[in-house]
Amino acid sequence: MIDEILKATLLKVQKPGRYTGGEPGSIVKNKKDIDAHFAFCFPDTYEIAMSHLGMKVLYEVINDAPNYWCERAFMPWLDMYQEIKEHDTLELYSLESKTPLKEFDAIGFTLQYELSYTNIVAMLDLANIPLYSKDRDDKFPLVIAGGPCVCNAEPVADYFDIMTLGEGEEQILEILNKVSFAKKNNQTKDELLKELSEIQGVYVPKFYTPIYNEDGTIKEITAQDGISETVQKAIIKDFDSQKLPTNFIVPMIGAIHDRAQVEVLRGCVRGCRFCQAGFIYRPKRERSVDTLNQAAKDLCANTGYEELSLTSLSTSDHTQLEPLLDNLLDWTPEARVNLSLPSLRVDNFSKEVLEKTTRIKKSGLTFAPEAGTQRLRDVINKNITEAEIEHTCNIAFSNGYSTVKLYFMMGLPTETMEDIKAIAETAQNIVGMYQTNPNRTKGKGVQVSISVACFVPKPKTPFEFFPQDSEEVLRKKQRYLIECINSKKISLSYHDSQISRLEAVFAKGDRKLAKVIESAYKNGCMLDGWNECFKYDKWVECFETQNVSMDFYANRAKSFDEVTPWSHLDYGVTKEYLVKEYNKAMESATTPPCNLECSNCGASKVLGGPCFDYSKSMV
Amino acid sequence: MITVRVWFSKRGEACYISHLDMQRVMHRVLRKAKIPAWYSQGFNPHIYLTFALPLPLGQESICEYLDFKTEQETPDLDNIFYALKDILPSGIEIYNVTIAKHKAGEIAFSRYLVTFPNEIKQQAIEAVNQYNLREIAVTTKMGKQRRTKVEKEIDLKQFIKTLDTNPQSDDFCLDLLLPAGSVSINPALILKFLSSEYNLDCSAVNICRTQVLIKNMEKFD
Repeated sequence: MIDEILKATLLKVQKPGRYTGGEPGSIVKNKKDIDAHFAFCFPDTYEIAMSHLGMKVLYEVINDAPNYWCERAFMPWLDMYQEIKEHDTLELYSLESKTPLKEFDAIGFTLQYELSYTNIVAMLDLANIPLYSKDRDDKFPLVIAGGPCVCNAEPVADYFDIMTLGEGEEQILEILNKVSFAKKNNQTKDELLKELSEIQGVYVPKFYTPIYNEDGTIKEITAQDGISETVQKAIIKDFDSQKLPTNFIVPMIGAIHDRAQVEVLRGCVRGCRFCQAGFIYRPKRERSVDTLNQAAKDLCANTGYEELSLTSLSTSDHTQLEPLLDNLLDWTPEARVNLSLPSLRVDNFSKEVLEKTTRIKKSGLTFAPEAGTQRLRDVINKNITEAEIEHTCNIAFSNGYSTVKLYFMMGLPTETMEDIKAIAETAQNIVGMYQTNPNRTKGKGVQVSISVACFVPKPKTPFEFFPQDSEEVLRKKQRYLIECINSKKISLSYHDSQISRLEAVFAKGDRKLAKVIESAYKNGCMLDGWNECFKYDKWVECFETQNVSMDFYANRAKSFDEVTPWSHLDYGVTKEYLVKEYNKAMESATTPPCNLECSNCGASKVLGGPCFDYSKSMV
Repeated sequence: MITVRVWFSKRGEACYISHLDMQRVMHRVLRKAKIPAWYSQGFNPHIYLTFALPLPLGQESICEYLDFKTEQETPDLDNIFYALKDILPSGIEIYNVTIAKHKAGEIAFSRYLVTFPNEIKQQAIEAVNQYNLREIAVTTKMGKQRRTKVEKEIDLKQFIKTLDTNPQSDDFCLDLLLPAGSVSINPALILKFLSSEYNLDCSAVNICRTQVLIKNMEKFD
């Protein structure tokens, strides 16, 4: 399977284990037995890709079908990229069977992050597959995109044959069903695309044409005859019955998140106005205690993992979290499995929950107040108060914690320098609280780390209308914040404003960007999410030579009646609701979590009924 | 407590699993197989695994082993064998499970089969002959001086006078017996010497460890 050329190559590159496959849990089938051969492509390196829960979900869903085979292919690191590029006989291959990507029936990229777009171009290039959908005839695999960034698919829409909106567990099987049918019956690519467009959540970019105004904004997006004007996302209606993956591939060279994960709930009730995930994954659905407990047990037994994590957008919003923890703690200590709970919220963080997790392992405590003042937290609808932060930190300090990590954003709508100063004050207060807490661990100093990201306005959120702060303003705010911090117990890290700017451009971009991404790749940009590879100057140059303005996408406010590049992509939540939320934000008015009171965002129509049973009292 | 020794080969794609990664991989595999291994006590309990001779990345072996401890007095070795047999990464094959007889410290030699690709067969034969005629063969090796890494000069001839070929193979192969344990000579050092001294491209040379021996040339068990 690994031939002499590949073998010699692997000895030249760093971490060859990234390119060999063969991990426990990876699936090998016989090509003769399968009707559809699919490659899950993650446009980043092995360590990032193998941390992605979505891949594990789809890998198992597809491979559970005896007649389908899902393999993996990832973005190689620079050294391996060069090797493949230089050797005529080498091209990007799948990890399981070392089959060139070009020989698959379909390959699917997940769009998790805007700055991985050049990696998609690089991977197609290494696979000798033409970049643009229009340049690929029937003999090439169907090239698919999925994942959160599809909610503004347009910057990369020209590259893909189909793009999938929403949740993929059921959808991918329907797609592969049609792909295998087309293969058996020699359907043309166009016939297949037509068929695929009938599946819930499948967007075929070539059936839609954006028409631009003179100022560069979009006049309208027209659909071909017989094609629906909007595409509505796919959703798993019966979430509790959707099988959880219980046979992860266990990476051998390690991964960023190298542990057992169970997804306890999907969607989020909070409605923080900056948060794309909070809007595009609506409505919130959770799995029952029994389902989760059994899946966690099976997963740990099948993988040998020593750490189990309960994942979701907001794990403490699970209505049965405490019974769930009790059930898990019945068997995890004996099985020597550590429990970890990411995504806890400050407001409903109880002493009981904390004690349950600390019974096994004590790690740092992380909170995301997002903004320094109550006023600004109300603007972004992050419904937590100073008192709640204090309360939680006091519980934590009394229970032996001494490090706290806080996440903030700068550049939020309506933000002033007062709000920036308040970030430092919030951190300083926590330091003070530790020092006055009588139950703190003696002889140990407190360490508060604050991490400040630059706000990137995202489509499908109430802030999609809002411009991003310019680079200069963000820099000024960062400098001011540094001045405001005068304690050695507080450490500060902040995001590179140039990276955030590019993220904003792609998040809100349209089809004119496809050329820019292509030219950036040709000029040596890739792995842009990696600091050591990010070449902002090159990007600026490419925008200039392609005559595309970054400011137009990142720093321009959109009026409510402007047609956005994503207006034909329907994630349930209506534009009217986004406008309403935007206006409430400007008045610093908050919206309650949607399990307490429905605000009619529109997401329930995708589910086909009310999201919650409001007759029961929700705690 | 009894030390159980699991014997396996590590070939093909498995030779790209580094020594550190092997520890993690095998730890999880033992857990998955529900092997009755002893866990270290303390804050972060884990199975106490020992691999005596780290195999460099890219080299194969048909005689690797790992040790773990168990509190059982008569562990069911067959059971352990079958529990592990089908869950190992591809390229790793278990071939025996024994109770450890020798201590890791008794290891004195490793034997390697070094196979040259056919394209460079003639140059390789020539280079090996030249080596065998030399008085000294000095190369550098990374070593430790207290805690800092330093380059040390060593004379390979002190450790291996002649490079013996393996006549049973059609390919041009060396059968090398090298010191291992407290002083170890990596066969890659010899290749490094041949490639720098005689301009021999060794990038596609295959190295496979074939035996681990104790001082009196008995097999390590």
